[in-house]
Amino acid sequence: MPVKYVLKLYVTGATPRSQAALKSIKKILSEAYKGAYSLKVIDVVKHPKLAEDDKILATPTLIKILPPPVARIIGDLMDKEKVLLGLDLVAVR
Amino acid sequence: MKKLTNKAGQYKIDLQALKESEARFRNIVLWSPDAIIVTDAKGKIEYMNPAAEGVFNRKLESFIGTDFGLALVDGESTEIDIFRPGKDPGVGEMHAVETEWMNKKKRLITIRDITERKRAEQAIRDAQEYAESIVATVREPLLVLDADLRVIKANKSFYWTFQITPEKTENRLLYDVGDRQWDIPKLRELLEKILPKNTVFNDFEIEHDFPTIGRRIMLLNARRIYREGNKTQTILLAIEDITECKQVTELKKALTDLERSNQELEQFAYVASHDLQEPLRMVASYTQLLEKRYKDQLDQDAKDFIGFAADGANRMQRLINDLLAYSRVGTRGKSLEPTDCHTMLGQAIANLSMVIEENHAVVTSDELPTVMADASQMVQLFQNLIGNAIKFRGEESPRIHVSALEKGNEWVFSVKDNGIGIEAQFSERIFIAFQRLHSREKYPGTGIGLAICKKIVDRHGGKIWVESELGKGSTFYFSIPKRGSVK
Repeated sequence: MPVKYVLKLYVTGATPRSQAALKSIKKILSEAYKGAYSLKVIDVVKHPKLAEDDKILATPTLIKILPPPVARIIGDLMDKEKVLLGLDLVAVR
Repeated sequence: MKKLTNKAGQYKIDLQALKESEARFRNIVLWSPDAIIVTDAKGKIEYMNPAAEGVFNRKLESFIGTDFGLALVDGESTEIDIFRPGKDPGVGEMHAVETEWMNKKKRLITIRDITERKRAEQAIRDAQEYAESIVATVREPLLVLDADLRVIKANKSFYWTFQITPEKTENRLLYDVGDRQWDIPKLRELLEKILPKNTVFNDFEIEHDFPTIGRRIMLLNARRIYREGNKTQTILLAIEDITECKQVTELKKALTDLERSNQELEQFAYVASHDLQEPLRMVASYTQLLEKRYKDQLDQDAKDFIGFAADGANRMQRLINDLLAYSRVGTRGKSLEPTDCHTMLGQAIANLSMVIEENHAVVTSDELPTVMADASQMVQLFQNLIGNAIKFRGEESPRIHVSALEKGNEWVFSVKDNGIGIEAQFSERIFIAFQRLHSREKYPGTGIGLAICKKIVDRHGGKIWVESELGKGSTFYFSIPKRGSVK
C-alpha cells in the first residue's frame, strides 16, 4: 500500500504528556490509515535544530505534511475526531 | 453610560471610551505574565505579547505569520511541554478560545508557565513519598498522630506487632485503639505532658500487659512536628518492642556469668586437687614410715588401722588424680585440628594392649573419618570407652566394634560391646563424675572415665549417650561436629 499520509510528531523527551500523545497518535493513525501512513517522531530535546526550523513552540505538536495542505495541531491529542478534524483529514470509516 | 444629545459630541466621547478600553486591554496583554498568542482561523500567528518571549526563551519576531496550528484543549486547559532552546523544557498550561474580531474569526491562546509550580508539586510529592516510604519501611512500629492523638497512619510493622487491622486503627483516638489497650498512664503522661513542652522524647521504656500479645517491654520515641502549611501538628510515635531483646540480653548475661563461674570452678578444681596432693603425700608417706619403723612395736589392731589409713590415702590419691585428669580436659586442652580417628583408635588400643590381651578381647572397627579434634583427647575418649567395655565384660570374651556414620553436619561414632549392659534408668547418671553403679570391690575405679568422655565430647561441641539393655551389651555413641570449634 503506498504511503499517502506523512506526519511529524514533536515531543519532549519522555514526559508523560509526550508518551501519552505518541501512544494516542499511533492508535488513531493505525485505526484510520493502517499501513498507509508514515509518522516521524522528533524529540525536541535531542533535535532542537529541527524543532527551531519547524517553528515549534510547544509539544506535543503534530504536523501533517501529506496530503496537502500542511496542517498542524498542538495540545491535547487524545480525541480521534478532534485530531483528524484539526488536521483537515476525514477518517476512513 | 451617560446619555448624549450632541451627535458630534457623541462620536467624540465614544472614541474616547474606545481609546480607554483599548488602552486597558492593551495593558492587560502587554503586562500579562502569560504568553498570549493571537492566530487567525487557520492557526497563523498574528500577534504574540512580550511575555511570550520569556515563556519560550527566545526572540519571536520571526514567528509572526508562521503556523502555530490548531490548539486542541481538553475542557478548560491542557498541559503542554514548552520548548525553550538553550534551557530545559518547561511545562505550560494552555487555554484556547475562538473569538470574533472585526468580523473575522480569531483564536486567542494563552500559555501560562507552570514549570516552577510543577517542580514544586513534584518536590512535595517526592518528599511525601519519601516520608511515606520511610514510615512503611522501618521495621519498628510507627504511628502518625494528629494533635488530638488521633491515628492518621500506622505502618505495617505496627499492625503486625500489635495484631490489629488498619480499619480498627486509623482515624481513631490512640487510646481507643484495640479495646483501649493503649490507654496506658505512662504513655498518657508522655504524650500529654512531656511532648507539648519538649517536642521530642527519646527512649522511654514502658511495660504493659496487652490482652492480645501479652506483657511487652517497649521503647518509645516521639517527635512533635509543626506544619507551617496547614498550621497543624503531627506526632510521630515510634514503638520499639524490646521484650525479646531484653530477654536475650538477660540470657546472654546469665550465660556469661555461667561460663565465668564454670571456668573459675575448673580452675579451682585443678588448683585444689593439685595442692591437695602434697599434704596427702605426707599422710601416705608418714603412714608407711610408721608401719615400717614401728612394725615390731605395734599390735595387730594398730597395723590394721595403719592399713586402713594407707588404703584411704591411696584412694584419695586416685580420686585427686582423676579429678585432675577431669579438669585438665578443659584447662589443658589443645586446639582442634584435623585428626585421623583411625590412628587415634590405634593408639588407644595400643595403650590398652595389656588389658585387651588379658581379657582376650577383640576390637574391630569400620573406616573412621578425619575430624576436627584434639588428638590426645580423642585417644583418651576411645581408650575410656573401650576400657570400660572390657572392664564391664560379660561371660564371653569381649568383642568391641567401633564405627562412624555421617549425619548432617556431624559424625556420629559408636562403640558397641557385648558386656553386661546398663539399665536404661542409669543411662544419664553414668556420665556424672564419681557416680558408680557397682561396688568398688567388684569393679575398681573412681567413676571418672565416662565423665571425662562427656567433657571431651562437650568440648568438641558434640553429644554423648548410651543405648543399652541389661545383659545384652551397650553401644556408646558420641557426635563430633564437622566444622569443629572449641566450646
